[in-house]
Amino acid sequence: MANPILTSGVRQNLLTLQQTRDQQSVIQNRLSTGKKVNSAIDNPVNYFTSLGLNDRSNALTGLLDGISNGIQTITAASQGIDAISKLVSSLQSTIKQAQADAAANRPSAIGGTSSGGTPPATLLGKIGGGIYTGNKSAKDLALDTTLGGTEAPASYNSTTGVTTDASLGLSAGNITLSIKAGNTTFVSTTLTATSTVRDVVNEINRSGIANASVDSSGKLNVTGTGSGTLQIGIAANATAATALANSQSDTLSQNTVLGLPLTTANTGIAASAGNSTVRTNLINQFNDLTKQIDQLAKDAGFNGKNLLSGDKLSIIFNEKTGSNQAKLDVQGETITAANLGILQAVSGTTVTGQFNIQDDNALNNMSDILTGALTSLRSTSSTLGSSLSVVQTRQDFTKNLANTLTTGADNLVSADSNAEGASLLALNTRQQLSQTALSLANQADQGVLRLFQ
Amino acid sequence: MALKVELKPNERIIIGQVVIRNDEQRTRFFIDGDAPILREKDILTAASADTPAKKIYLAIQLMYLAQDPTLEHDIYFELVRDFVQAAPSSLSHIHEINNRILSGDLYKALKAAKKLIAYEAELIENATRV
Repeated sequence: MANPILTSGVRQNLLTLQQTRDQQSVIQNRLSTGKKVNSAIDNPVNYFTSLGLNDRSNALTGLLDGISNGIQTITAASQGIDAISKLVSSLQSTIKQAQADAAANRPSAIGGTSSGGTPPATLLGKIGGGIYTGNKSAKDLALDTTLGGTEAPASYNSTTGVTTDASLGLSAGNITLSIKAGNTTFVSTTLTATSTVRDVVNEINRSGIANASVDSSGKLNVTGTGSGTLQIGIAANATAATALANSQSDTLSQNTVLGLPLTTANTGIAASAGNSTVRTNLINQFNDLTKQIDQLAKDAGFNGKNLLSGDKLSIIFNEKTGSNQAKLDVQGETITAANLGILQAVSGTTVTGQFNIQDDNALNNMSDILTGALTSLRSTSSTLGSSLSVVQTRQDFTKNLANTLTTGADNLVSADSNAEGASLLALNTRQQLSQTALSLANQADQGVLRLFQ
Repeated sequence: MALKVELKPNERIIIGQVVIRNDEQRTRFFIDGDAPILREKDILTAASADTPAKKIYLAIQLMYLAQDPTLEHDIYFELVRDFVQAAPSSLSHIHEINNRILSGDLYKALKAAKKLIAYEAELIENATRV
């Protein structure tokens, strides 16, 4: 059989083991013969030290109750935060539900039909009147209509309608399309006399703040993408600046060519607030959830201390006073729906602390507030978590400390320094190959100490 | 206030997570900030921690270097329990070490552990003296 190869660590341990055994046999010999070499430590001193240490152990055990209460208080607050976070998530989905039902509240306009004249004041309006009998659908005809040129084609006939592509008669020059929704303004100057209604529709869609389409009867439909008032106007003029100004004027715009009222250019189309019944129905759900947040925060206390009501928790780790006292202060915060920035939902006019659930902007704003509230709750929760782990470690340590003191103090009275020397050597022998020593050595090999070998 | 450190030729020192070894001449420098600092004479390794008290010292030294008093509580307390059982008269030393750890002052705990090593040597020496 090959000789086992010993690592340097094990060899070192075995060497110490042998030395220790030699020393031990000397002592054991002495102890068995009763020949004590050294006078024992003063027993009365030991007795009083032991008393003192026992007191200290009792004091520590007393502190453990407080520490344990502290842990319960922090845990209760932490669980409260978790539950409140879930409620805030529910609020978020309520807001999402409300946001999904936006269409009913959007400002929209449909190009009107014109009843008068031959040719009618607006081509689109005329086609919408339903007297077109040509070989193109009313929708295509409307889309293919050019902006410039003479208004309406010569081939217009009140009985047969239009048979060739028409034009809206916007005078040549700069054609400006202005759209404004809420605080966003969009101005298009790319349209020319040869552009068609299709180009106008595309420009409106490109704005991002309004959608346009031409329906099967050739009417222009415009809808805002938000719930703010929508202004849309078109005007042509030799001067660009005038075209722009006219396109935003209730009197000077040339909206009638598109079948839209003149006032659409500046007064605008107001959002039809309060139309969404889905949103109205969500008001109660939203406000109930916010009430539950307040309620949960009030119930998150333990033993009279509530970290979610702004209470301060002091956990004391030793029995000292003044600057020698080791303690951890956990400052709670008052958590309410209002403090998290969450407003009450109403439909229509709002006062401070409320938001209009029918208003898209208010909904977006509330969605941001809820995201912020979640972030702030998460940070509170992590603060509580780290306090909790500090306190738990302390509890563990203090428990062990009290145990060591009690067992040690009990043995102290009968301490005999000779026997102690022998016991230490015996302990050393036992420890050489013990699991604990091995773990300790492993630990030491992992850190910076490994560089010291 | 900066800590003044003077190293002898070839002396080593641990600052934070690195070992610094001096060259052939004496060196003096100042340290500002908050990192565990251990001179070579104060450092025990797994191999040189060959008595129960030195093992306790090594355990505290690991806590100090990691700046984490919670490191391996189980090991530490097992070592301490065994020690107190074997030598109850060492309790006041142990008590001081524990207090230092409890108040987060790991460097002072190391100093106290040094006293425990001296006390252990005294006990063993008394017992083995011919």
